[in-house]
Order: sequence, then structure tokens, then C-alpha cells
Amino acid sequence: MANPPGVSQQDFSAALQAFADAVGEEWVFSSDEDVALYRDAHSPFWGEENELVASAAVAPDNVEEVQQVMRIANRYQIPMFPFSTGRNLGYGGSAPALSGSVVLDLKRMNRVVEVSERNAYALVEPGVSYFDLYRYIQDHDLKLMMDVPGPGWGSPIGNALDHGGGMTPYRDHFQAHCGMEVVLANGELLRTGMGAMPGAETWQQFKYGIGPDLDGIFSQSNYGVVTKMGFWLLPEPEVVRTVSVIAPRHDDAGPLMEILSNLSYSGVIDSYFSIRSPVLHGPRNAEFDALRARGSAATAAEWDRHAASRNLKFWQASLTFYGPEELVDARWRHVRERYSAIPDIEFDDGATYRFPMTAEEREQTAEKGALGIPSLDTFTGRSAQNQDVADGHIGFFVVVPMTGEGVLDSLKVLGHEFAQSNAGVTLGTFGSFHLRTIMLVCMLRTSRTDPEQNRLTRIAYERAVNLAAEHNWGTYRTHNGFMDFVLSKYSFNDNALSRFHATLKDAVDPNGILSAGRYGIWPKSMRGSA
Amino acid sequence: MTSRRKFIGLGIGAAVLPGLAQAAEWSSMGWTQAGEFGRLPLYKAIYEKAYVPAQGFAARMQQRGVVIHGIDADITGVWFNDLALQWRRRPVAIAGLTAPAALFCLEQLAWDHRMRVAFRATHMQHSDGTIEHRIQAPQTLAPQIRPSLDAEPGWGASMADLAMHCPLPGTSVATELAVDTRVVVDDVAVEPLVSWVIAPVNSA
Repeated sequence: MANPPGVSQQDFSAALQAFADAVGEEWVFSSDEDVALYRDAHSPFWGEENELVASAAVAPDNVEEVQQVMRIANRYQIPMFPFSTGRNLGYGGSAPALSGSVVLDLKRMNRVVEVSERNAYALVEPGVSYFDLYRYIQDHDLKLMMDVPGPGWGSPIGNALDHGGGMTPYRDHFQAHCGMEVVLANGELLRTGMGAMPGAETWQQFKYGIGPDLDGIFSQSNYGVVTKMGFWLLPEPEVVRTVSVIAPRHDDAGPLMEILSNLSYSGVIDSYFSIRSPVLHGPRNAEFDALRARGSAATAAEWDRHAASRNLKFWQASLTFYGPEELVDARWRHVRERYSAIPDIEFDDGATYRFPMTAEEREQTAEKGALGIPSLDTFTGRSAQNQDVADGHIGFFVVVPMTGEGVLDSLKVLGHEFAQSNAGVTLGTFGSFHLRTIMLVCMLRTSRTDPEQNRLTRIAYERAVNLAAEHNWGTYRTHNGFMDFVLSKYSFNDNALSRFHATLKDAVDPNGILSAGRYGIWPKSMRGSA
Repeated sequence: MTSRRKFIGLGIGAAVLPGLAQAAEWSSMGWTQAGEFGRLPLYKAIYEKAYVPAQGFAARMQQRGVVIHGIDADITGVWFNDLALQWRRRPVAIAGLTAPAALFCLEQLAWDHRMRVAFRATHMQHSDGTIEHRIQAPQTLAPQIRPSLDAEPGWGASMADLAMHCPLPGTSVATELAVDTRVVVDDVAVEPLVSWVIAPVNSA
């Protein structure tokens, strides 16, 4: 067992004993075998010197114990790294951003504090998983739909704090939250929004309370330990419908995106949509590779001839509607009317799901994500997004403009880049996980048995981040091992953002004990040497 | 601070002892008679329905009185409807012959309940008809591994026998073997398969 950086053996031992006194001896883990369970299963540094690993783990059961742990950590200057359920695979999982930190395992804090069917919200602790909340809703026969990310074993709090997303009208998980309870680095307890008014019944209704809206500073940061969080839920709709719009030509990207953007901004499309190109996402051949290698020199006509030779349409936009059937019908009719302006456009009416669904229907549907049903089916086997489920991946989701040029340029530029890489990168679809935003989804393989794969992946990831930045595209979320690097691309005004982060850090965590290095935010004592 | 955790089948009481006929069969294969170590009581055996060796694994488990559950790659149903509830009440041992993804998910979820993989075998099928078995198992199982892989009706059933004989407390995973067997291939697995046992950790 190695000591946390900058901490003497004497202080570390004393701190571990103090943690044990606070939470119970059985909930402090320091053996190599136990601490190894907190390794990042998808680490691109697996088994190497640079792999980020914990020195010990503490698992409190309640808010008071978290407060005690923070006070102890401050007393002995122990770097702590809190996580919810530790399933942020692809972004670091339960491993700390600073190697040697003590991880604060919040899985025992797994209470569903409240679910209001009438006001359509839930208030949960960090150890509650999507599966847990879903079970609560089903067991109490509540007519509410959750919004879920890919795997259902994650935490609504953890996922929202890392800006994750799903598919329903509440797909932007951080935007869909309302109210937080936070333990600060000094052990003080804070409630935000209407939670700051004792007894207010509107904590999960009105986000802002009075004064500055603080909640954002606790996301993708290290300014506090979130111990409760409210989430807005969707009243169970009458129907959910998944449909597609199919456009045949390369240059249809422009009008396709212009109409889609307008429909999204005006609320006609108010949930997740995706855009993929059966041609540019499709299987490669020599002609495809040659066209893509020519970049902007390859004409639309050449691409269209290539698509025709493979009997492929160029674009498919998939949409989802939620609500009363007559409104869903009206929205889809309006969408078809708008897209009829594109010659040879095609429509697929897809599937309509009616509620309530039976247990068998919920279990057997292939569209669990769209229906708010948590699942682990993302791990079921090789797919375009998940080439090797046996090991893992890191995510590279690139925010691009919601325009035809944004879609075409990013697909061609990054597609060509990844094709030259030996890392086995999967180029995915464009997804709208957040309001007014699309991201190109890319997955880079990691391995627990092949260090060369991980080396190639790290190179490919850094090249992709650099290339994206050259085109003014940024990523919205990143793995612990790349946080400084990614933050360096957000460099406006001589890195003013980073300097402001540091100012806040020094104010709220002067000893720098919380999640040092998370999203490039370092305590004063470590800045410059990080 | 040192760990005081030991590896046992927590909460499952005494080992299940075999009947006479069963003991004789095991003895012919070199299995130790009950009394030295017995059979690990298993709550459930999970198998990948699509693959013949996994079907053999399940058949053997069922023959030995273990409840079986077939999956089509996705463990969500057995996790959410069964194991998540059971493990919250009381951690119990399970075994399986599945694709690696299923074990990955269950191993991650098992850690939350202080459980570990006690036995792990990877079975990789090569284009020349051989199957390479890489087995991580307690040392006490080592003498039975090679003979069991060649036994009828097939290695899937053999993995069930090995899983059921995964020792009780005190034996750490200490052996890793690689064994090639030549089999008639009429069922080509797209990806490697894994056999495994997940069992609770004692906190005493």
C-alpha cells in the first residue's frame, strides 16, 4: 500500500484509523486486494506506471459520515476522490485523477429519498443507480419515466455531474437536475436553489433560489461532494414513437441539418435525435478510402456516384417523440411536411410504443434507452460502437456545429484521421444528448492484456483532440488521464477559464483535498508540478 | 492497516456432500471424496444459450441439481430480476459459461457485494479446430483440470464439474494453466467463452 503523495506514513495511518472510527472499521479498505477493486477497468494505462490508482478507500453510509471524513482529510491533508457508483467507464471509473488518492466510495449512500409522481421528480443519494431508481418507480407503480444513459448500473448523480445524457426530453441529465446537497471540503453542508430555504417544498421545482446559481460549479469539478440531487422525471407518456428521415445525396446534409436544427430549436423535436451516414459510416472499400483521402477535393457528385454504386442513401436522421398520440402524430406530420422540400426524401414511420407496457414488453424491447428502461445490453457484444466488450474503451465525443458543413467536415476529417490510425477507432453517429447540440461519437479501444493497444489508443486520442481543436471542435467530457490536456484546448484569453477554476479551488478547498486534478483543476500546492 | 478479509462461500452453510454414485464418478476422474473438500453450493448457473459448450455446462449443472438460467448475451434480466435482489439480501455463489461481457458485468456488480471471481477459465477457439483453455483456479483443482477437459460429454460439462468443486475457504487463486484440446468443431464461437465462479468474501 503506497501513501498518498505528500503524506507521511504516520499521518496516513492516523487518518485511516480516524476514518475507521468515523465510518466503522469494516468500511475502510487498504489491502492491495481490496484497493485493486477500484482500478479503472477501461484504463488506457492498465498495468503501466502511469495508471491512476487509489491508495485506500473509505465508504461512508450517510451525510454526517461524509462530513466527518472531509474534516479528517483536511486535518491530515489526505487527497480524496469521491465517486457515486464508480461506473464512469471510459472516463476513469472509480480510479482517482491523482494517483494515490483515497477514494470516497459513496455506493452505500443508496437511498431513494423521495419520488413525487404528482410533481414528477426524484431526490436521490449518489449510490442510487438507474436500476435502483427504476425499481423504486416500478415497485410503487408510479407513472413516471426516467431518462437513462447507456449502461443502467451508473448513478444519476454521477452521470449528471459528468454531463452525461440520454434520449427523452430530459436527456441532458445535468440540465434536468433540480437542487443539490453538497458537503464542502471543510465538512460544511450546503443546499442549493430552494434547498437553502429551510422547509421549502420547491427544492426540486425551482432551480435558482436566490442569488448566483451555484450548481454548475459542482459538475465536472472538485469543489464539493454531492450527497443528494433532485431530478425531473417525465410523466409516463401515452406513446413513444421512433422514426427516421432518409436523404439520398451528399449535399442533402445542408438542408437536412438546417431543418433539423430549426425543428429542435423550436421545440417540435424535443428529445434525442441522431444522424448517421450509411455511406460515410459504412463499410470501407478502395474507392471509399480514395475519396476520403482526397478531403475537400472529392466532389459531391463523386460521393453520390459512390453511394449509388453501393445502393446506399447518404443520410439517416432518427428522431423520437414522446407524448399524447395526437400530438406525436401532429409533430411527425409537421416534420414530414418540412422535409418534403428535399427532393427524393424518404420517411420511415418506425415503431410506436404504448404505455403502460407490460413487464414482458419492457424486458423484450430493443429500444430500452428511448423508453427509459435501464439495461446492460450495451455490453452484449461487438457492435459498431463497442468493438471489444471484453476489455473496454475511452470515449471521444466531439461537439460540432449543427450545420451540414459541421456534419460533413467532422465525419470526413476525423474519419480519415482514424482510418490512418492502427488503434481500431470506432466512428459512431452524431447524437443530440444535450439541448441545441450534436456530438460525433467516437470510441477508442482499451485493453487489459495488450499494452501496445493502449499506447496506440493514447496516441490516437491525443491526435484526435488536437485535430478537432484545429477545427474549433471541442470534446465535452474526458478520461482522468487526459484532463489537463483537454482543458488546455479551452484557452481563450490566455487560459482565463483555467485561472478562474484555480481561483475558486483556492477559495473553497484551500488544502486541496478534493479530487485534485479533476478536469485540470489543481490545488495551489500542486499547480505547476502537475 | 491490513485486511482481515478471507475468501469463503459466505452464508451457505456446510458444503453439499455427494451421493455414493456421484462420489464414485468423481473418484474415477480423480476428484477427492467428499470430506476433504465438498461441492461449492451454487445459487444459480448462468449459460449462454447460443453455444453448445455452454449448453453442456448447463446440462451438467442441472443434472447436479443446480438451477440454471440461459441468456442471449444480455445479463440485464437475471441481474435485475434475481441477483440484484438476492445479493442485497445475502451474497451467494453463482457460476457460468458465457461470453466475456457477461462475466465482466457480473464481476463488477459482485464487487459491490464484496464478492470475487473464484474460478476463471477462458476458452478460445482457433481456426485449426483446437480450443485453448486458460484456467485460473485454486491449486487444489489443478490435478483434475487436464483429465476433465478430455472427458465426455465435452469440456462444457467439465467446466461445470470444476466450478462445482471450486474449494471453500482459505484457498487463493494460485494456478494458471493453458491447455489445448482438439475437438470436432460444429459450433464456432465468434468470441472467446469464459467459465467462472463468483463467490462471497468473508469479513470475519
